[in-house]
Amino acid sequence: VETGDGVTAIRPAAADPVERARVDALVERARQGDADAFGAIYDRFQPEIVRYLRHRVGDMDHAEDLCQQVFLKAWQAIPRYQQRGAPFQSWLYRMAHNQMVDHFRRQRPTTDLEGVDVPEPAEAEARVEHAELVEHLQSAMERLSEDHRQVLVLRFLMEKSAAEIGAIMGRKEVTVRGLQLRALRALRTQIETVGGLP
Amino acid sequence: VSRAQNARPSELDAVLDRCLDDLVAGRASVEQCLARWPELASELRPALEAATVMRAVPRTPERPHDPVRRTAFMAALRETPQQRPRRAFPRPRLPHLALPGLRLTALTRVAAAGASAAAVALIAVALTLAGGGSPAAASTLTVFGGEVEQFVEGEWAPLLDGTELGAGARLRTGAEGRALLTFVDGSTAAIDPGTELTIEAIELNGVRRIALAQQSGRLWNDVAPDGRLGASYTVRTPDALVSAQGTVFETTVGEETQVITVEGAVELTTDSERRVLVAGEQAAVRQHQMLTATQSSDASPLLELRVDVPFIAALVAPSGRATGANPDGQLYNQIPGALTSSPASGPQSLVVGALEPGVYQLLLRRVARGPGELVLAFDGVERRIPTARLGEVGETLLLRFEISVGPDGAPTARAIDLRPVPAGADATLERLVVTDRAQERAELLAEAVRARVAAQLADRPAPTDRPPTPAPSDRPPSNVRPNATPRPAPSDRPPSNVRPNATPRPAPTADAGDALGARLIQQLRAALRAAPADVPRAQVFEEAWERLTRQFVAQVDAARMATLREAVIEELRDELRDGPRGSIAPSATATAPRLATAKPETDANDTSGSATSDAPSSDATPTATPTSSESSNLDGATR
Repeated sequence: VETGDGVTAIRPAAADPVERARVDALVERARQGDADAFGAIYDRFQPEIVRYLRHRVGDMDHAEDLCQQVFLKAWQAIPRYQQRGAPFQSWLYRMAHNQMVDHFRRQRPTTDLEGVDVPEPAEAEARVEHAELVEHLQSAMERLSEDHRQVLVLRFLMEKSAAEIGAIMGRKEVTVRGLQLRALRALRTQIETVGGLP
Repeated sequence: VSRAQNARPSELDAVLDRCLDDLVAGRASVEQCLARWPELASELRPALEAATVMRAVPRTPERPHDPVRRTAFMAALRETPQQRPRRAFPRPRLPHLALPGLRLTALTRVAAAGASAAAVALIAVALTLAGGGSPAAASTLTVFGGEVEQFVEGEWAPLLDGTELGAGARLRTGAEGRALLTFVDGSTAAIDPGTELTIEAIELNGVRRIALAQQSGRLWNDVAPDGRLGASYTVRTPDALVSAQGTVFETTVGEETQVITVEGAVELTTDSERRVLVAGEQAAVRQHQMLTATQSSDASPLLELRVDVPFIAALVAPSGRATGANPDGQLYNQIPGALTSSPASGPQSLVVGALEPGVYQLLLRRVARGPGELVLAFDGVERRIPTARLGEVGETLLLRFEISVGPDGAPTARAIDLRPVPAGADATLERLVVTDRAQERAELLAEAVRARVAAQLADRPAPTDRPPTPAPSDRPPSNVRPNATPRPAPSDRPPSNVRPNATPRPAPTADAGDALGARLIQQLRAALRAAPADVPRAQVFEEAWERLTRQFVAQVDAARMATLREAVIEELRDELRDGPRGSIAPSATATAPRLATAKPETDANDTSGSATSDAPSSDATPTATPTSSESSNLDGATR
């Protein structure tokens, strides 16, 4: 997994059947109340969920706090979890999404772009341009619907496929394809509304 | 005809998805993708360019585990109990639902204790039944309160909130039982106390087919628009068959069957007669004989709320049922006798035809900065509340007011308070079941609302080169009136208006003054003005009407378009005068089949480009004249 800072993290793909069987076994033990098994689930998925929340709430510390709440709620709710074909992490993403929505309701919505540590280009001019780009994008993203924001973040910042996004959002893959087209169109419209890109 | 014009939206979606895969993986550039799909290049380019911008955003690296945080988490985890699923307990047979409360309580306790062998056996039966698997197409039950039961294996067993019910389910509500069925297409049926019904069919493989049989009580049906040929939603009563599409209607079964159409049109069929009831009409049928078919009373509703962006409003009744919209684009109508308009098509209007005594909650969700106004009209008296300084973006305000009935039988309204909702608490105020199809419609509505908000923020009229109401669920209410609600004399109003079971008396939908009608008139008027003088007006009208029909077909069913056509022709009578007026048929009999078969597979966005009118946006904003608020008890709302 390319993490964006030049570091490649090795993580088994969600579609790997061995990995999936391992996760399923942990989930089953956690459903029976095994805290250590849930601890292993936490170790496996917490970094990814934090990264997702970081993109949505714009602040790493806040994202980690929210993530703790997500995993605690997941622990409470896991006895009711039912395997329905989608990978387990889809369920975690949905819980993270709900937690994030609650967060937005408590505060003025921000986007995944706020506070991003922008790598510094060599040229000062390029640096300014990049900051303006992020600012414009932030403004444009704020005007998108929650669904559109979610699909763009998952597609481009979390690098999920349409099928994976469908599992996370509880939609069909074909629905997600249409949604991402509308999301990109809406993003472009909003970018133009706020004055276009610099 | 180019391939791009012929390309189905799903093909474009799939091609874009492949291009995005290539872009994200670095396998291809935008130009390479466009070169690979030259026929779709014009549609792909804007999306791919936006994708490129998204790709320019730096991604957040994953952080390794913080051991301190993990230790704290595991400590918290070990102190947090898990929530174990609970099973429904079947209950011994209840001879009558209208039992005294004490007796019901006692029976419930027996079942809950689960101590007897009989109870254990019944639990086993219930678990067996529950394990039978959920049906492919189901409805979801929402229980607002009271007794709701299903007939299973010769017993009436209590139903839990959230239960999925498929075809064949027979259920009933007790004297206080209120529930809602949400079907897979987003249609809902609100079930009043003392109602018994059977779900005869739920099919959504391709074309919707929902069939209910109502044995008693009252159903408030809010049917999602579905213009496809063969789509159906029917309610069969002992006296008649009621068929509808994309409408709101009420069916009451007692000694006779009463049907009221609130929006759109329904077809009422008896053994000997078939009649279409358009919005505002009602009929009674007894033993398959049509007794009456009349216009509903146009008595003004007691309560009317008008809210404009930047707020999106919803009203929650004392029973817990809600009517309105939310910022996610959901539009819902669970309160019998109430109607809501879409915030996408103009100021949102919430009209309540039959009030329940108790506390109502008006949810005001701010979606943007800027001024606005909330108009509360109760019993003909208006109260206007400027909302510029109320709330922050993303915040929800809750206005609570109480409806009570005085000793003289007259209803009164009293504002309780106006306050922000505690963080996260507003999510549970409305009880919504969101299906995939409803979600897809909601996306379009939410997009349209945002466009309206953006247009208002930019201090310019909303664009008119797209369908004004892109969401199929967008159905302006029939009784949104452009002017202030006339204040009826108290004696004019039927006293039943304030009883919980009172029958709503909404005004006709055919009024061209509603939001959709206004948009149609505006676009037709523009077409008539733009056409050369030597072209017959009727021809211009028909061509424009056909275009608009195609444009709106995804959102409005054929019956509603037929109703609107009559009203629109009436409104444009003067502009049509110099042409062969007689050639324009007010009846839409020729239009309806075309509507039924021409529904495109695209969403409103994809069809929006077909609109050509450049006329300024019609503003359906009600222009209510401020009236004295001295006598309104709702004044307290701003305190």
